[in-house]
Amino acid sequence: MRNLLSTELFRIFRQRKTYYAIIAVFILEAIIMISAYMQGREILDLFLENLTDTFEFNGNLLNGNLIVYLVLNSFWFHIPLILMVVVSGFLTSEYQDRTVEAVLLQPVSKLKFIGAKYMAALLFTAFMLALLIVTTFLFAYLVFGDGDLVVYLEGLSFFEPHEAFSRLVWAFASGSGTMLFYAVVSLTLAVLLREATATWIVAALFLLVTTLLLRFDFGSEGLNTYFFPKLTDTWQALFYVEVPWDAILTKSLVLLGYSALAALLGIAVFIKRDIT
Amino acid sequence: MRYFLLLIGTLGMAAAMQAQDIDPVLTQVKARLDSIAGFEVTVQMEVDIRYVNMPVKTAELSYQQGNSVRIRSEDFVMIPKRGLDFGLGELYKYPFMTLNLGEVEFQGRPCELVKVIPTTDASDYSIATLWIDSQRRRIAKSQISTKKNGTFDINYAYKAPKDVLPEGITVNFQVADIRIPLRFLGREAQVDKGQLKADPGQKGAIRLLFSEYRISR
Amino acid sequence: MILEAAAISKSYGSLPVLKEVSLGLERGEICGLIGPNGAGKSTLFRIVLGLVRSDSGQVYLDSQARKPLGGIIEKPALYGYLSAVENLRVFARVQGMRLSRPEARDLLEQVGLPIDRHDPVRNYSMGMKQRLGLAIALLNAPGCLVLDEPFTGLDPIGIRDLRELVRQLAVERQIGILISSHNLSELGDLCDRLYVLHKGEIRHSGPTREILRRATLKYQLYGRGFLGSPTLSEAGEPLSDTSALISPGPHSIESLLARVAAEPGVGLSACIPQLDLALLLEKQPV
Repeated sequence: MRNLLSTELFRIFRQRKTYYAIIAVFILEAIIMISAYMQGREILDLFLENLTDTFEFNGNLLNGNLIVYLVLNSFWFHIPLILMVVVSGFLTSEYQDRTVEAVLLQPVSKLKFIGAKYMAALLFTAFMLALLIVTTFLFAYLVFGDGDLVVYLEGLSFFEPHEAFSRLVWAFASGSGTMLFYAVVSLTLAVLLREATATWIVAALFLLVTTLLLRFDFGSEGLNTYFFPKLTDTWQALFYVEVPWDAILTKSLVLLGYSALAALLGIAVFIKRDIT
Repeated sequence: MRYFLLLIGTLGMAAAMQAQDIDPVLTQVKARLDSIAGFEVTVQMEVDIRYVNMPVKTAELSYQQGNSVRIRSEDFVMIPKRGLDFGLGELYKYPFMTLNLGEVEFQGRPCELVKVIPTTDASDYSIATLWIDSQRRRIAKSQISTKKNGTFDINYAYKAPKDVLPEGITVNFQVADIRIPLRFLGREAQVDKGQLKADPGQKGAIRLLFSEYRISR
Repeated sequence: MILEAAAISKSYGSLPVLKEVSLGLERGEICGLIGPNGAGKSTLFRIVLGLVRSDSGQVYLDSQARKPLGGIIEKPALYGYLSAVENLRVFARVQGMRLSRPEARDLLEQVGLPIDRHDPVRNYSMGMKQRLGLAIALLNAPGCLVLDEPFTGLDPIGIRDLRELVRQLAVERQIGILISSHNLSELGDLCDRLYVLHKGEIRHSGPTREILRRATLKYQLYGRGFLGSPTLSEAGEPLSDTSALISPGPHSIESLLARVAAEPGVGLSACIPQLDLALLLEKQPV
């Protein structure tokens, strides 16, 4: 398994498309930062509009923390979309080039082969997220400086810089769980569909429907809490005044369960199916 | 001719009132405050508005007679537009007259209730009511109705009977509720919509706690 | 036998693809599987190689090696963005082999590939890819090789070189090689034995010369003085004085040629059997 995993990682970083994905993430990050900077003032004016009669404000709210928070919001759609396209490509390209067959002609078990794929998908996702998170913090603080973070969630909440930083880091950690879920799902879709374009379309559809269902009221407490679309925005809870750690932990574990389930489904189908 | 005399007389009386009718209690307080050339103080600010969650902030406040106060803070702070008029400079900025409504009791202390009415349109408040502790010659409470920014209700707390500078100020005000377009909302989008419409305004307060006055006289 | 497939059956839905197919392969032997497109050759090879499960039947391998069997299905599948050495090392690593660069270059030399190319193998010709595919199949020294249609897409020189390489592997390394093609002439002078597969059934099997003989009704002769040959005018219609298409009929081709050669004024320079795969596909007991 370690050998398979190391060759997976070696090949991932020898492919041009990996670098296209990294560049895409950077471009996305830059666009989000620029639009965050341009929109940030407008958002702040809206947030503070009704307080301007009563108060004068001292200090800069359009700072690195707000920019990082706005980049974090890109977790809603953009980052998972890029991740799903790239991660599903790890397998669909092998089906297309028939290298799945070539590897399985060697003394390699199907379980280990597909297991290594899932591991590589998780590691690659973690790498991309680390890259995104580190560069976001770095650029945001370097360019926009430090300061209080204001967010609108159950009212306007202000967090002091060290508090904002720790909440943002935890939110990124929690959001990363969601990204890993999407990565695993996309690989399972690749196992099921095998063909790149079909997998991309279904993955994008999955993401779209999940995002829509997040806001949908199922009329049942259980579904509204534990159906997987409802677990994809757990990271938002890090910005409640009182962080509901227990709920975050429970939801994260349930989402982890969904990820494991998706992976098991993919592994089972891959093992059961003939390589034709 | 008779009317003309009447007019002159009325105008003269009005001018005389302007000159004389600043309540002596207020004048005494102003004189006490004017003895302070300036000061610096550490202030803790606690915002109490239903939809604002803000930790208690600390800032350095400096006041120089004749200037408005300056606030320095590492953090983002919200400074009330009224309530920091330590030298009563804002009340005294434009001509006004006062009307003493007599003695009332406020928080167990006898106070003179003094209305301050601006006599020009330039002033940015329409009326101010002061509860002045006549024995201790300091303001216990004020209520300022501004022309643009609503009414501010300000309570003063003092450490020692002789103090003229407050240890704490609570500013109460009316504030409109927040309206955020849907696209900026997170998961709370569906929760507050009805409430927002039904609740056009609400009371808010900010509590300021002063410590370590460094006074220059 | 190093490899034996016994009564393999496989259906895709209600469509039977293989019906109780059996075959065997000895160490150092080259065995051909001949059949038209759609006969079930690739499915049989996929089953032998463990990529596809059979519905019934067994594959026996007489080997305790970590990799008893190497193979290429249709075209060799390679990582096009990697160099030849990198491909070898990746395929070695997945099976737990640590292949040093010099070892990888040795392998390339053994299959006749240049060792000084570092460009991605997507730039390689089909012949070179086949050779690299063979080098990968040979990793971990399997006792037998299964090569599915290895000549597809190769030019005549490529075919000749690959045949030479296959022969060399069988002779020098005593590897049993099972090789398939839809073209009888590609396998004729390479294989020791042939199996003929059609519609999922083995129609014939046996030594290559016997199978070829069954597949040959006519021979093309080249020489001179054919117009004056009584034997040739009996056995076929002389097309011209220098070439003739003959059917030996009840006689053997050897005796017929001897008679022609003995005739005065007739000279023989070539005799090419006209292989007809269709003849082998007729249903008759194996």
